[in-house]
Amino acid sequence: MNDAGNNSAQGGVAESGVSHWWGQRLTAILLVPLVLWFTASFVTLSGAGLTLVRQWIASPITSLFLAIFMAALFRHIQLGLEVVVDDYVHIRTRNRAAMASIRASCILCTVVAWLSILVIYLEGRG
Amino acid sequence: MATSNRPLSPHLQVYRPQITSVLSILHRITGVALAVGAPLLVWWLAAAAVGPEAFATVRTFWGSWFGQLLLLGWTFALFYHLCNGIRHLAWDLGYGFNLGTATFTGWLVVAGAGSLTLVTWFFAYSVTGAIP
Repeated sequence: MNDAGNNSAQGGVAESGVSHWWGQRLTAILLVPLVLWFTASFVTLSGAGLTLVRQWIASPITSLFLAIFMAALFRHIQLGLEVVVDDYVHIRTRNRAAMASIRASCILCTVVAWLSILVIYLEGRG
Repeated sequence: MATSNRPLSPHLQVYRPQITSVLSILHRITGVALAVGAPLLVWWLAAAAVGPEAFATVRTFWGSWFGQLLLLGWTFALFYHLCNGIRHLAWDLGYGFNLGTATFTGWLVVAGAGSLTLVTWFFAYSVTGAIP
């Protein structure tokens, strides 16, 4: 059997193609304002020292938006890379291995980002 | 597995590249490039959390010509993926499928991404001299 066909029959890129499609669109819509906000802030912060950067991150609104941004970004990245892998990697074991490492990397990035934001937020309070 | 080396569509080599097809693959290329760059954003956040030395390392890297070149590439990739992503969302809603419209919005996306990149870098350099 062709592994590409096999994939779509048995769940393919995620648990369900429909939820995968919607996940990619919803994170995309969420990312439009977040990316614009972050880029504008990042440019404004360019050249700023650590104190100023921390001050910016530590504000409740910023830390909340940043946490949502990081989660949406890495979810969107995971869903996108899964589609790319499914399109080009047809050998089943390699496909599964690539999927697992994408998922693990995206979760790791989100967790590290969240912890960093939390640390800066709490230090800003204290 | 016996048939796993069967040719898989699309057979890109038999098509003459067109603006629509070039922009389509560019959406994927910029997406993958941004996925590679995104962990560096986490590095920036983590360094800010860890302390002055780690943060100084990040700034030195981004301030180097190589770091600036990467940032310039990622700025364009980001704005291209953003603009073309909005074009994709419009398609998802059923708008813009007419061939002439798709070509026009394609060039619009290229112009939009290019101008947003220029504006971003103009502001970054006029405000402070460098990103970040």
